[in-house]
Amino acid sequence: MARNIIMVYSETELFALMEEMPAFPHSGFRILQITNDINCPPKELVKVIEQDPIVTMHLLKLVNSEHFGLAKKITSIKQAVVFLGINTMKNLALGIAPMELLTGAKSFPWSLTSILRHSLTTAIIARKLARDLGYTETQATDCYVAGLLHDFGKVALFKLFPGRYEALLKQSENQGIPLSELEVREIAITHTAIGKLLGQRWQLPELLIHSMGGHHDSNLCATSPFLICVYTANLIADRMHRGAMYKQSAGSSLPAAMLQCLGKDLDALIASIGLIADEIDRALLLTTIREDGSMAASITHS
Amino acid sequence: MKLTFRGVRGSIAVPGPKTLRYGGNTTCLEVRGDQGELIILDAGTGLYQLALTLFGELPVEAHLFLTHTHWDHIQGLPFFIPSFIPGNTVHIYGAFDPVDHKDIRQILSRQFEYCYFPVREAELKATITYTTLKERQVVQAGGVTVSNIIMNHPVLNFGYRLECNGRSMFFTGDHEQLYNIYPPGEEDWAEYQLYVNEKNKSITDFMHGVDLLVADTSYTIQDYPQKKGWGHSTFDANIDMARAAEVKALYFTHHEPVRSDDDLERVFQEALSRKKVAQYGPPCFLAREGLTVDV
Ligand SMILES: [Zn+2]
Ligand SMILES: [Zn+2]
Repeated sequence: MARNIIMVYSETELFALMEEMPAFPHSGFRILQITNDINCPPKELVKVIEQDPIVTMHLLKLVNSEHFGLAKKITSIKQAVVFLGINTMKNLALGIAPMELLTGAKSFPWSLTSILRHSLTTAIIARKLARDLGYTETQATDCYVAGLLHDFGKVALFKLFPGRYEALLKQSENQGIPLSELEVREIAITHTAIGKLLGQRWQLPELLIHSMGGHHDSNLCATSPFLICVYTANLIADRMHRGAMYKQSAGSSLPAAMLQCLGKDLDALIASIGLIADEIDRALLLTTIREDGSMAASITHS
Repeated sequence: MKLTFRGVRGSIAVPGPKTLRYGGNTTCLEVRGDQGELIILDAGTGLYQLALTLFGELPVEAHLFLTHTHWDHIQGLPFFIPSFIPGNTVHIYGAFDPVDHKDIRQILSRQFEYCYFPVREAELKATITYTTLKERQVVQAGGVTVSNIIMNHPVLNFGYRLECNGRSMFFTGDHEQLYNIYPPGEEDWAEYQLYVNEKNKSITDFMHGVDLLVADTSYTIQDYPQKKGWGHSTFDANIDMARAAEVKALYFTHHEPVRSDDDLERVFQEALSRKKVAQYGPPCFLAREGLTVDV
């Protein structure tokens, strides 16, 4: 049986690896921020979109797709705003921002769908928890973004170890071995460690760095209500994914400090969140435009 | 064709002493083809008034075209009584929702969900068909030809052109005059203006020469600066559009809910004199609930 060589990285080696990573997708982030503001001037939105060729391409692909049924081919964002209206464009941009933020990729690799679904689920739940705790819409959006990005380390490892990391994810899921254990054993780095490094390198706000680097660290997360939302949302998203099996999944209860902050235990929170499958599917739909501009016929739980 | 206004109010129904003359119901236009074909444009609360007149001609075959699905344009739909009567046929047409990725049936079926309405969509006794239209898709409703173009509103909104035996009309649905999002002098102004001009031309070409134009005229030019971007036009902008498209008559509709009958007549007269309509045309009128005009 071939045994994997354990690699141990120096800081320099890691940064060299990360040279291959995309730059932080600022436009996805900005779109989520500015669409939050009902008075956001249309030209600001147009500017953010136009500065990002990937978002631009995705939007143009979308508005020209068969489903849209436009009589005329749209070739620029400004033209799209004139022909479809700023509000429709704003909502479309909002729909594709998560994918932009998560992958920064020109085309979306299908094998990443399960990470995308999990990230969106976490984001939507984290935002909901923040709203339920009475935080402002801006703070709730911060939690959404933190939830969306918490597993960015996985996306990075996915790109750094093509094929191999996918096998690790499958192994973890199928055999019930904690992912971080496998990561250490097989590739000598965890998704949280690389997530933290990326967050620092991109000079992201502390909330995002902690979310990407510390979402399994309950002590760290208990120090901020926003991190509590992300930590808890991640647990709930996991349980939802496991579905019927979740009763048996042990060791995922909330620490006392978080219980106190949230005022409910995990089961009560899950009950209060209600049905969000629709919301997740809708969010996923816009992120799954194929190269030819058509959409995936159906989104499956990978 | 014959056009009867069944609802002329915008945004929300406002019954009461101050709206008695022009009416408080939201958007619904009844159009009859030369063979009596029933075409309905939008299903605001005015649709209920229309429904009450249809009992004498059962079974009914209705072609309902929705400009868009904001509440004030669909609120009458669950109360369109012919939908409950077997033997009737209702053909519903409307745009796709590209944001939530829903066709017109999926959009409307929510209205019939348990928490909103006691009868499920599946329980409607009439034959109901749904057609999600693409832009400029042409529909033949008996002898009436109906085509559409996307206008400017915070949601995809179709303006509809109807033609029958050489006569024609156009209804904007909800529409805001296009404007440049850049101030003059800014670098992107010129490029944006090109698209604005192109879109304006495609709209005026599309409605060119119609005998009758019905246009969303929620605002006066005094109201407009505070309401810019909300998706509705002014008297003055619509007069300009009607002139550019060389339409033969213009009806203003989607009256602001806060506007009393007296106020409405006053702002209408002010616009007519400001735009010198008596001199340069076209003939302009206020849409009024119950008013029937020959097209
Ligand atoms: Zn309206
Ligand atoms: Zn509207």
